[in-house]
Amino acid sequence: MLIDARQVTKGTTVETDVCIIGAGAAGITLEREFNGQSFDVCLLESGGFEFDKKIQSLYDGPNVGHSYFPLDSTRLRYFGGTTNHWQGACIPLSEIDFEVRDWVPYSGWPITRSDLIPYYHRALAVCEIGPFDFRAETWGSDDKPPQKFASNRLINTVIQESPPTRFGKKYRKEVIDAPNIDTYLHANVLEIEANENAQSIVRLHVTSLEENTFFVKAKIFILATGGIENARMLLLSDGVQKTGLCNQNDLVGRFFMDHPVYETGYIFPTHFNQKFYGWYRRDFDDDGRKGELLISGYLKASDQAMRENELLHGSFRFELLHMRDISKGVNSLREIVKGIKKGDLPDEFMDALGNVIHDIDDVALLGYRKLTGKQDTIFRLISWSEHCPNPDSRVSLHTKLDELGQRQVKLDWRLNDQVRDNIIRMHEILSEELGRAGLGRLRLDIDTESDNWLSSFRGSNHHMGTTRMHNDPSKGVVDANCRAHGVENLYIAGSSVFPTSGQANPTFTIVALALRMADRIKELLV
Amino acid sequence: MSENRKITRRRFLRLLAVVGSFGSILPINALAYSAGLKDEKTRHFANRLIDIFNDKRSASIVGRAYLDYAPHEADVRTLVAKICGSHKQYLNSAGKDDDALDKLILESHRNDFANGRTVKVSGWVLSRTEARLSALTAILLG
Repeated sequence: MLIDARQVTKGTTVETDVCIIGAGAAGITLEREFNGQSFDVCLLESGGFEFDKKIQSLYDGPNVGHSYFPLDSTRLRYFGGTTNHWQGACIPLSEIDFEVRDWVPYSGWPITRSDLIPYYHRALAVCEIGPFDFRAETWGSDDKPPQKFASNRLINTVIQESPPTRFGKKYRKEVIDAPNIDTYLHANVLEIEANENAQSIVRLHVTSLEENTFFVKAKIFILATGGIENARMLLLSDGVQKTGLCNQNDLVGRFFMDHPVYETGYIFPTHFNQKFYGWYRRDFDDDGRKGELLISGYLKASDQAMRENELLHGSFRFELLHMRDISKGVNSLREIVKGIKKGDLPDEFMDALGNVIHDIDDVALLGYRKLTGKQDTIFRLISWSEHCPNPDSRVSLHTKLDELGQRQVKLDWRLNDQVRDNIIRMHEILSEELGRAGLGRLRLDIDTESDNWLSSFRGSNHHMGTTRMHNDPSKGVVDANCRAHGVENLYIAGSSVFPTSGQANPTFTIVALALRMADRIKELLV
Repeated sequence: MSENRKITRRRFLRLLAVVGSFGSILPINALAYSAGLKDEKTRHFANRLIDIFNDKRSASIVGRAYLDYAPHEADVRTLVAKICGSHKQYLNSAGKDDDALDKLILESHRNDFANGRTVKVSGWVLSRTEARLSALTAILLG
């Protein structure tokens, strides 16, 4: 049943078995799993079915750390949550991502990849993608061959592209029609009220913008409001624990992570090869959707390379820059590159470099010389890195209040030198492999000599780590089942529980973890 | 294909001229290492090395950028020694024909990348061999 929270009488208490806070990828996945079960479910969503500027502004807050997206645009606050604007990249985490790695501080999950595999399989249908197979050899073809390298330091793998599934639209009817589920729109949680020793949640304080505060009691509460808001909700719930619910060890909000991305590397190919690009391309139409393309390839560090070089998990994706793709008036590769970094190159340098590379690599590739035309293509290199877990990278509460009188969130995103060093080493490996294979040369534009290196990086809208998972309550907010340490009936869903980020886009894993949690809750209640 | 044949013939004739100047097929490693190598012979050999480039003007531009980075290598003897010096195991097979030298250079170039012997020239990561060959070209072209 669908209920408009603005119509709920002030002071009302709603009683249910399971209360889910947030209707994003995790919340809707949980709700679908609970559809038709023998217990009752209440879903609370702050927004409606469409974007609303006033409700969205509840996400506003300052960023005091490394440059980041505005907090009221990096996520969406209405039914479907951030899946309303995700691009659909589905990638599972790798085995190594779950391991304790000596060179990655605070690394290690309390579960393994094997624990998640059955749920990854079930997540395929939820995200509308193909089989659980992300091997390049499966998806490569004669038309789109994955590039082969001489060593195994870099490996080809694939992104499976969701349409992308807009959870709020795709599963809306199913959720509304569920006989045992009440979905409240425009319902904002003000506080998660705990009992006197904070070992159990008693009820939620809920309101719409109409200031009609009402209450929700449940046997089990699931917080599923996203990687930033999950922490904020706990910090705001300070009625019993004055530093915030579940924050007895000062962990809530810490370890905020996003995938650092930068676009300041370029590959000058020996020969432009449509097949090479075909494997690595990602195409979107004007609506941000993929056509019939369901797979795009990319390169990542192999487990062996990560271990031998003590690397964070990093990957490379490519974009083609071609004369026909660039703005009017730019008519040569030299000018393209001058545009990339003004004043850095002599006028003729790029053309000259192209000829030099052709001469050398023609020998490598063909065994004889070939007169070549002018090079007019170049690849922009997009590099992703795992975020090095850092307790000082954090979400906390600001003094400024939102429309509901709640303290805004404050983000302090921090990257450390390990990320920079990792990306430099990854580029060294890629440049060596490209040169060795006679494929081209790489340019790295990170300013490694100054403290200004951070300016090249941006985030990916992947908010992770603020309620991290660990078996030890002194090191994590939730346990291996995503239940809050010390609170018997509070679970936390979403990427806030990720102890480490890997290099994979998080939505696919968020869904898998939600499916796993759903099974756990069903075991408890049925 | 005909273009390639033409190039090969051209290079073959050039090779004959170079070989003629040395008087015999050369034990190139000896040339590269020998402190007593005559400047003229070094120069002949250097010219053979840079014949890898179809477009020497381009190589010269890249080479000048490299020499900005490594001005201490800005002479023919140093560059020839450095290009050939660490690859003497291959050099004995070179000098017999044009392709052998190409293979030698290619091997050095690949080994550079395989072993991290790279250098950044205007931000681009190049093998030491190709950067030095370019520098050699810049010097020889003046």
